[in-house]
Amino acid sequence: MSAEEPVSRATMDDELARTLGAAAELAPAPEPDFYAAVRDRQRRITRQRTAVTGLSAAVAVLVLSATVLVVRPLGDGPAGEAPAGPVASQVPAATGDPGASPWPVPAARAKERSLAGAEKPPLVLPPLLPDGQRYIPSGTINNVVVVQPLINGDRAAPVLLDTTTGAKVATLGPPGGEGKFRYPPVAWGGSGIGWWTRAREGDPYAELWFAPYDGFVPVMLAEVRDARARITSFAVGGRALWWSTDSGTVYRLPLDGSAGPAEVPSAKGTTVVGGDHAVRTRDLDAGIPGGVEIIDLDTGAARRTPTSFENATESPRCGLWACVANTRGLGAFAQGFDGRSYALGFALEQVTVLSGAVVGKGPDGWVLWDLGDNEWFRLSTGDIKGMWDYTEPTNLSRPYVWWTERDGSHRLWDLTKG
Amino acid sequence: MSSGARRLNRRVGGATEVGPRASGDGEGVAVEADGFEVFVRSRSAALLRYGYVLSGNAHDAADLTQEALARLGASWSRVRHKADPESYVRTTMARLHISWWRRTRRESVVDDVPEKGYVDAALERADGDAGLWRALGHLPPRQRAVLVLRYYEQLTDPEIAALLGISRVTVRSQAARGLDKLRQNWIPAVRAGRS
Repeated sequence: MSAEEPVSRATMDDELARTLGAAAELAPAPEPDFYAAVRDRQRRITRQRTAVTGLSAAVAVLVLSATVLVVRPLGDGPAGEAPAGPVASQVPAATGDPGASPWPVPAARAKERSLAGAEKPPLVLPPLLPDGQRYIPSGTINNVVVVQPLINGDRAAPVLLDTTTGAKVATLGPPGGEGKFRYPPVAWGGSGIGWWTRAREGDPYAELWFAPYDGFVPVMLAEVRDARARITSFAVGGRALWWSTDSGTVYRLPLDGSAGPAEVPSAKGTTVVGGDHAVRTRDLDAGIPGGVEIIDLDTGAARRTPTSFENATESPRCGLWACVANTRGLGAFAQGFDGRSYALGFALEQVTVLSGAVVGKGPDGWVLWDLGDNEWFRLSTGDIKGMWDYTEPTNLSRPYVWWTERDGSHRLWDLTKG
Repeated sequence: MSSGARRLNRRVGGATEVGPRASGDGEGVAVEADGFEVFVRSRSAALLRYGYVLSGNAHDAADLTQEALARLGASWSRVRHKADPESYVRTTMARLHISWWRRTRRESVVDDVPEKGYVDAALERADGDAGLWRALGHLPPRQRAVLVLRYYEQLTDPEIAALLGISRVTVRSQAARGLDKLRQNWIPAVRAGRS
């Protein structure tokens, strides 16, 4: 190795693991009073929580009082019941500037619906595949469910299950590739699903696959190496696969196989986020924030997401069609890029904006807020697993949500309309 | 006794309880004999090691570990039933490490470049190439945390994303930037010796 040669990835990986392991062994042993120090801090935390709880209770009483004063004059129904329909001109701000309206524009209040009453209730999927493997659901269409088995904790090649029987229909792509490749999440597009595989060892190498919804016959559209294979994000558009690389380059690959991968110079520095869309990489943190441009890779058109909402307590988080943020006093507020606005009535945390819907954690558990019909559903009252995958921006275009119940069974909900 | 402590007493039932309050100081910190102290005493050394590689020095490692354990203690009755306490602590430590840095960065921006960092002689001997350890010390905490989680904790990128509450894209970009900086700042000992 010469002094000019860059340090290879393998060398760096090995040295980092070794250095960190060696450094850890040099950490000082706990002092004799370590536990006492922990307990001291615990008392401080308890004291702070008690103080915050007291303050919150006082604020809640004030807000409740204000709400009762505001809602009662409206008349119909018991105090505190959410009025249906536009409410902007009826409900003044609970807090904030005296002259400010609570919503930036008229917003319809969402109605609660039960999962059982949904037009297409969620599919119930077993905890394990027929062969006993764990798996992650991906989506459903044309009477099949697409899942990715988990092998040693890693996703494997996509598998199709029959919606009715749960039987395995097919494995997409060559079987047994898990030892050689890593399989990132499947991406959903307008006419099919796409996925890519990354070689576990050796120089960067990736295969790019597509399977149309009609028949799900998988086709490897391209093999890429080196810089093109350092993929950071991948999406399936209407007519092309798109992917970003760690150098900031975006590539396009037609779905019909009419051409090979081509660089998209105008998209330099962006990360593809689903469908035919990309966002400046520097703007991406956890999902798409407010105040950034969403770029249509096909047309070059750009749309700027709102920087903030009036009375919002936080910056908006956005998907490809809407943004959402919690607002003071009256909960989550969403605004579609078509200009329509929606109010949920309570706050949501850990929000992910999907295609036409918002998933988040409400006061009593996970909630799906269907913006299309302006209805919300309780997904689960407890902790659920699987929503983590929605921090992956690649799939913001897909209309599916899935979660895992406490008994290990999965629910997969297709939010596609019509 | 606070209502919280009363509830705890009922739940613990016949278990040996050190006392309804830790020190009789009226702050209502119930000492649970159902595992927290045992957990702290048995796992603190390993957690300090983790804190050390996360923060890069013994003082911050102890601070980070104690704070995370205190938070665990405040939520012990909930966490021990629902989650792996060690995982809870390690997640808290990683997030605290990043958030503390953010706070410090806002409050302590200085014009002068700090003096060159302290080099741990013991590490120099053990590692044989302390240059990489020093180079790690120049990384922003989020990049460092991602690399520690990947190379010390051996977590996958999705696991790191979940743990830090960031996207996988961010994990990958932070790791790539961190590795790039390390490559720029680190000259392996063997190469430095030759040149």
